[in-house]
Amino acid sequence: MRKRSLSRAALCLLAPGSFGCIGQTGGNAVDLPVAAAGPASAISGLPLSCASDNGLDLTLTQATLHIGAVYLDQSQPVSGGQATSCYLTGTYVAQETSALDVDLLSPELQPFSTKAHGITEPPALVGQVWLTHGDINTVPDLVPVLSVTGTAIRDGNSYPFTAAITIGSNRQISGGAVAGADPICKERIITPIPVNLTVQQTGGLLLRIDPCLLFTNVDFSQLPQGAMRSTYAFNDDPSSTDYTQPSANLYANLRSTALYAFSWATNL
Amino acid sequence: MFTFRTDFHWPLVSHRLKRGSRLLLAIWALSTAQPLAHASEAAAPLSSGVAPPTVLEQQQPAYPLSAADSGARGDVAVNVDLDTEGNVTGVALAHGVEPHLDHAAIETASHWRFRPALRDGVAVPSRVQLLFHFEPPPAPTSQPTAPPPLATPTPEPTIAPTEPPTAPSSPAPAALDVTVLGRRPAVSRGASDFQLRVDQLAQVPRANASELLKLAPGILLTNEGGEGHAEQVFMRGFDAREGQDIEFTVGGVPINESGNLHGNGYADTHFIIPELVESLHVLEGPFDPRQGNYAVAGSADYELGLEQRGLTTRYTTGSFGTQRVLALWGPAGESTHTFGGAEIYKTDGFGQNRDAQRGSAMGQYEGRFGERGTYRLTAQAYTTHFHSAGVVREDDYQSGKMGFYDSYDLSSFARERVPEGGDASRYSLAADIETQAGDTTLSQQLFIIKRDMRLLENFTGFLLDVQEPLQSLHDQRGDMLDLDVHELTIGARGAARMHGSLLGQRQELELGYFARGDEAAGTQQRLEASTGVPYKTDTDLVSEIGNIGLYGDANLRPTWWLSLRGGGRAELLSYTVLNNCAAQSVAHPSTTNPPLDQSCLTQQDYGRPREADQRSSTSSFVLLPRASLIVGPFRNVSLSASYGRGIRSIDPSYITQDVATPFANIVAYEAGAGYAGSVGNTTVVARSVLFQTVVDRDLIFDETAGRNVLGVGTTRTGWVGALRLTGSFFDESANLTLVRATFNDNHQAVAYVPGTVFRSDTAFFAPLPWHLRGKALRATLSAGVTYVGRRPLPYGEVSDQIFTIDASAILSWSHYELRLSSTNLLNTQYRLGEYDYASDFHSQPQPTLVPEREFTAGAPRAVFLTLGINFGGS
Repeated sequence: MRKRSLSRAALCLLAPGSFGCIGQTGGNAVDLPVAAAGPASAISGLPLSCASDNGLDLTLTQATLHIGAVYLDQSQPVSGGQATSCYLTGTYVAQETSALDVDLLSPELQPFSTKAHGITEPPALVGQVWLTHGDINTVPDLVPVLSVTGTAIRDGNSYPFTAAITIGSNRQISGGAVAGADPICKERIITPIPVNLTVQQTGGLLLRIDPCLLFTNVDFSQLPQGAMRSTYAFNDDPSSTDYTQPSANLYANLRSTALYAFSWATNL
Repeated sequence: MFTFRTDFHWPLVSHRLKRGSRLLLAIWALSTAQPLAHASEAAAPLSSGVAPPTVLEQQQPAYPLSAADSGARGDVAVNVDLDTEGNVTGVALAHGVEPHLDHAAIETASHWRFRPALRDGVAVPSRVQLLFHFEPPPAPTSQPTAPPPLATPTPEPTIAPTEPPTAPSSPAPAALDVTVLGRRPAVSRGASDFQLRVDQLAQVPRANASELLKLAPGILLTNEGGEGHAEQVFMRGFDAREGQDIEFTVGGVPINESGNLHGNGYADTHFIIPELVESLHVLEGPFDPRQGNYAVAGSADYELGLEQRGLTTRYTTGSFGTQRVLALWGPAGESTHTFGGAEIYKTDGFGQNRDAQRGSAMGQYEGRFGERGTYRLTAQAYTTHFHSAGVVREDDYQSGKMGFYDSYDLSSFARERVPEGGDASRYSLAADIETQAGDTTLSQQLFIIKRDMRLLENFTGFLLDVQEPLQSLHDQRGDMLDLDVHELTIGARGAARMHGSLLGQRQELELGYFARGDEAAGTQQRLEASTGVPYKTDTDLVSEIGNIGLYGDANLRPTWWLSLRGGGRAELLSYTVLNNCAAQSVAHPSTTNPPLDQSCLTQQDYGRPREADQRSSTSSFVLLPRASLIVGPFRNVSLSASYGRGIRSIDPSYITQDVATPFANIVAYEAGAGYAGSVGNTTVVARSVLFQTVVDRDLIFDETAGRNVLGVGTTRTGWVGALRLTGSFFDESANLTLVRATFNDNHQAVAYVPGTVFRSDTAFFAPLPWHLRGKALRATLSAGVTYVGRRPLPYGEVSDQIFTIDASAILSWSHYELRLSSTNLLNTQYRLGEYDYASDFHSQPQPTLVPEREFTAGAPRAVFLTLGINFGGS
């Protein structure tokens, strides 16, 4: 190895400004496009039908998700490892800090307004999707992050429904035995989303979100009727008596990492 | 060319009449541009500005065995050429007696060392003639084989006149004996040993004494912490941070601060008044047994002195509201090492949040100690208050959210109640003595240093204050570090250097010691940006650090052209560290009484008490071999090869009870060649060095800690070239360093380290053809050019290049001086320090967590005007 260093040093004497003499520290920093989209099987402009093998026919006519930011991190997910912090340990390898309202019924790639910043080493193993309209730690937020409309049919019963989910004061857990264990940022950050990709100098990051998974194990029959008798509405207030299984499960599914899938798209 | 003759008087040289010896000195100042028509000026007494060379180091020739049979006797005269550093660059026979005697005289003269001749305070090349008288040894009496042939008393060397071709013959000189009291400089350790006289290059604009380091090759200085924060020094491929990898001393007194929380070995040289720096000894590598702790990349010793006698005052005003008042005092009749000086400085700083104020005072008295000794008393005081702009994210600058010279501390989105900056002070006393006792030179030094520092820095913005369990709910409160350090250092060093003769050569042996005790108390807290109050204590340490070093150093000369120099050093470091914040978390907190936001915790762990503090103590010992082989000079060319091991002690925060102090070890090798001679009237000193250094634990910058922390091993391989040209009207120093620094494990480049550094310092000085009231106007033009190649940054990034020119023009008349100087003359917008790490300054809608380029801005063009007046000087 010393011989190699000496020979390289000798070369640098002849061409001190060459890149090889400057040295390489590993990886590269890149600015990359980021886009989000609904399922690839969706058809633009048409309602999304979600197939189900449990007798539920679900059709979504509108679904929008507000994403405040997206991050990729190198840290290996460890059970309980990030139990207390909204930030992951390890090095963040990509960040998209601009917001985007994603049409979950469209398979088209919907780009974020600004490019993300990333590094090509190390590879990303964990993703984070931040569902927030502003500061991740500012508790009040009355603007829904998820808005969805559709119809569910089961056992011959039709349940036209709407849902508008916020993550604000309504989701703040307080009075726990352990202070600070449940800051609002933990409600808003979807993590750890399994990822196995390396940021590259060409292409971009694609986040696909499958809105059908929002309704996994949702019992529409327990939905209370909405203001209009012909529709059903998911409740957004956990302290309400109307906050029953469907509402709780919808919120839990929204925060499930299974909903989100990161991949590297060469066509971005 | 001119000639003068004098019975010179030099503060450190005494003359007394002695029977049988003679002295007359004649000097041909080879470099002067004065025509012979100016012989009257040349022949003027020394007080008019010409000082002859004085002997610093001499030896006596032994009577050669080979000449004993012939019984040859007589005076051998040799002409000795000296360069501007006082080194012997050539010896020629002027008057011979017998070949063996002639050779002995030539060989002996080649090892003399001198203080260079000065003309108007400028070192100039010169030639002296030495006269050696030889007498054969007395015939044996009772024991025919007993008398050692080398035991013959050798004659007093004399300095005798050389006959200049055009000069008339001189009358018989007066008989004098010369006793030299000047202090012996350290012997050279090879091509990387730079004895740098500042001389006229002092006129190159320099913001502080640290910038004098640029006279040595491979030096880059950056500063992200403000004008009261130590310069970050890159030396020959090392990121020495604020001096942790360089042993800094001033007159032998340590500058590195052991136990400083910001960096163990932190070295702030801002207390040194640049005008009081006479010379700088930079040794790039651990090749001298005198070098102790922190000499990893090398060492730098500032030698203080003031050439100008009388009272000198200077007032400077210029860009960014900068003002500086300087007063220097050098009492007439005393040595250049007796002086006093003080400066007051203030600036609003370029851009935002860079204002600074400082005051510094230094005084030294050098007196005679007996007939062959001197002593020095030195006192120093320094205090400063300053602000710093911190870093700027590259994306924020590119998007227009931040200006190039802005500071987040004053921005609308990351305003800090307490902006970055700090305070620092240093007070020291030192006393030393050096004297001769027979063939032994004895030296002894005592010093005491009081040093305090507060530093406010925020590299990461709002990133590190994550919500922890058992804390009250909080946002990111900010990462501002408030570091406070108080240190007291007491120490001593001493040495005895003996010389004798063996194999017809002078041989030397030195034994010395270094002792130092430090008590350092430091805390580091985090301040809430909105209120400026501390919300967390990171560190609270009280450290007692002992350091004893013992060394032996030999200078062996088997023949006149071969020197083996070196020896070994034993180093012992001991630590006693009281960590007042040893417990920062609780393993099993009480759910009914959680610790919440406390930092240093006294808590119950399942009912077992746990105090917040904990004491640790340990010590460690290391042996450090060092050696240099020097061959020559042959036709003014010397070759050298050096090997050495060095250490850096670690931060007290890493100390564990009874676990040996894990030194960072360096092994360094180098081979070099040097030329010292004259080309026409120009003295040429040139060097070329190939080197490699291997460090087992290097320091790597950690933005979260705001300093360098221990990392893995690294290797540096490179080349250094240095050239100094000194003529009668110019002085030029240029150097180029090419180095490649890589990690030993993955062989990737060490980030932040510049691979290419070029520096040129140039001064032109000459009298102008105009006179005012019979006194000539003089002008000096100087320039400093710096080029730093692209530096590798983390994550494959590469920094910008740096190219700056500093320049000054000086007009002097009689006792008055007017100086116009400019730094960054081309007004280059450059990034002085560049980084790449994660930071979040609230400049984007959501946190910025991915590593991004940050930089600290280099200063834009600044212009300064200085008026100087000297009272009572020559």
